[in-house]
Amino acid sequence: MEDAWAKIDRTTIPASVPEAPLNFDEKPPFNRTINVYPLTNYTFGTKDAQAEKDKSVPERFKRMKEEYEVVGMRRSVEAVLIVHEHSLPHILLLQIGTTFYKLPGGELEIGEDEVSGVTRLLNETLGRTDGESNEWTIEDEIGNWWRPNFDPPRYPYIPAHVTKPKEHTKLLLVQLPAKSTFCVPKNFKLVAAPLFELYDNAAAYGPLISSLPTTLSRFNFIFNESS
Amino acid sequence: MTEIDESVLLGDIAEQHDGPIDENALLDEKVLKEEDVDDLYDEAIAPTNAEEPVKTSPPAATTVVAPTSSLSARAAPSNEGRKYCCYVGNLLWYTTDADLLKAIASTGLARSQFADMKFFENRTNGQSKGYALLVLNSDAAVKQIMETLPTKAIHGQSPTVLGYNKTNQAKLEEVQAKNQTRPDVKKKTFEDGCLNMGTIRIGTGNQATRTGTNNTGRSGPPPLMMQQVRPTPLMSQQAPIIQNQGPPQVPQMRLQINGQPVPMVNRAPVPQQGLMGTAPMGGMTQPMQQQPPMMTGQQQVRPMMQPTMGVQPMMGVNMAAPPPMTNQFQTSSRPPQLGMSVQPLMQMNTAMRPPVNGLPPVHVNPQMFPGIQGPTISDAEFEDVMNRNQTVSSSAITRAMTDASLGDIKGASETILTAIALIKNSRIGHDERCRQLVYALEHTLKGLESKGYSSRSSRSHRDRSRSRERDRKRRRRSRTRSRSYSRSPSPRRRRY
Repeated sequence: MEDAWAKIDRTTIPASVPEAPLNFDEKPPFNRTINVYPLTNYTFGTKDAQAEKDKSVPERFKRMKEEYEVVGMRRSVEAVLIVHEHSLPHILLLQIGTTFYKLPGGELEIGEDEVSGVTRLLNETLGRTDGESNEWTIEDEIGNWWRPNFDPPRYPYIPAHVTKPKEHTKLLLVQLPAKSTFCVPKNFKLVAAPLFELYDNAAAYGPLISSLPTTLSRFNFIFNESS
Repeated sequence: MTEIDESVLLGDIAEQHDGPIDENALLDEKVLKEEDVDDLYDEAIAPTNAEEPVKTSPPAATTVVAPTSSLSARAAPSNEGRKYCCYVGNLLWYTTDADLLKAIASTGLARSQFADMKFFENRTNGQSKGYALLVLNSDAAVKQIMETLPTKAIHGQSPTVLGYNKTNQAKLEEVQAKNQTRPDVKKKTFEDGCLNMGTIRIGTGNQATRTGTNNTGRSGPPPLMMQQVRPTPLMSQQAPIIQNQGPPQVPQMRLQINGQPVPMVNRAPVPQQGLMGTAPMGGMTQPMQQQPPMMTGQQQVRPMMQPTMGVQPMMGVNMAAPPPMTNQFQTSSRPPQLGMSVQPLMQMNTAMRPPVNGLPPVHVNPQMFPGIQGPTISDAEFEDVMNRNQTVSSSAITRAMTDASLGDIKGASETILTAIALIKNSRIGHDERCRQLVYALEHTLKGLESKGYSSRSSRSHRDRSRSRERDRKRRRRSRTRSRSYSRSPSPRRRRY
């Protein structure tokens, strides 16, 4: 029946993270402690460039729309990896070109859970190439952002008039091992941005990354000395 | 830093800039394939797809063909692909797409007549502007909606249905402006961007690089920006040297870093704001200069150069730092490139450890070496003129870019040339920093000429909607507009 409208009962979203399993009972610790290590504990190599899936912005949103029509809202994850310098947390960002920064991460496969997805994506993006494996400890979910339309803006909430967001991005805090090696695709540069650089600096980093200092303030970061 | 990179980035970058809603986005993405109709896209406001024309259906039976008329002129193979639009207004900010859909369904409109809808949103926070574009499949459907939808109250408000034209959209825009809790982002290209002070570039090659790329919107007031250290012989171009007040440089720097309560330079206001937003990217990243390592005798610090688009931090203004601390960087210690300057990268000893596993060492750039403090604050007059020159430079580049993007290369070049002349002839035209300004201008000029500055070609691999947004924004900007605090950088920064 092409001419029949789908029945609409509730016209609003039922939860702020609609697709998340409900969890009323599990009480997290009152505060969380995260170990961070000096940047110099880590070594960085390069590996082959990793092309973006989409060649252009239009293509990117075109594919997003096409996929939306088939599989529904895109789910993606982004990882927050933290090191420190001078006892100040620095967030690892991938720099593309000269002015664009992004967190490592990407799209989840259909049915893939966030933890294995982010692990897979981190291995693809930053994992070493010498046969050794990287250790990524997914510590916490530190945020959820939504894209209401097939266009660039994302918000840390679903705007009230939206019932069908087009992409959901989950931010995951990843604890790094004391020492490790990362291999960075040649088309990216890896930078460690201090919190003060990001704070209130949406102009340069966008609203998501610039909100991380605020988001992370609930954690107690232990600044381990260089080993 | 290829052009490809830039366009790749745009995917997410675009998140940072604002613009009016793009109606095209909700319609067939075919529009995007229609690469050859640039101009139409820039002008067209009607949603469309490649094959079929779009007609607008205003309340009256008169079918006004909106600016897409050129598209409409093409024969439509069938009626089915046509899209007919109208605006639905007087919605509450929390009226959902589902609410509206439900109301539409309740009018008895056939489902097959409904094509799509798009809420207009405040780009800053995603809030609904209280009106939406409704896309239907026939003129009759539009009429039906116009007659019946207003009787279907949503949350106690009766939706208003308006014909699809600019006037009506302007009306709706005006109404919503009163109701918005926050102003929609209006972009000032001029002041946004920011310096990546303190960002540590993790080198993957033997060249650690700094990310002095952006200038920030939260720049300090002009007077402050002018409190730069006057160039001294030490700060000559060839060797960016960190001038330390104390004798031994590096160790001292470390000490100071540790000792200062707020030793780090925060994002620095950049006098050359606007450059960032407008400097052509592709071409400008090339001519960076490798500078000879200096401070050879001073362990652990060596300048690392990288071609960046960044305007140099002329001085770090640390919010919390006492005034003297705000002048941390020697402007003149940097090569004379504005909008793409090369930045000396300090490599810290911690970063100098030998490669592990054969991998290159980590390069660290804690660029806030307070080593260069004790700013000899230059006389007001000098700064005044310098300030003026910087303004001249940045606005000239901004304007030239705007002109160039509109195809007026000649006008753009003239603007640049005028600015060069002004700066050169100013009383401090011989000053190092003035020469930097001139250099940047000349470089822009070169970029304009050599690249032919084809806005069209650069557009070709970018989102149409963004071009349109930009155009619109420009239009809007010219109309009114106080400078609202901008939360996002100029999209234009990346465009060129």
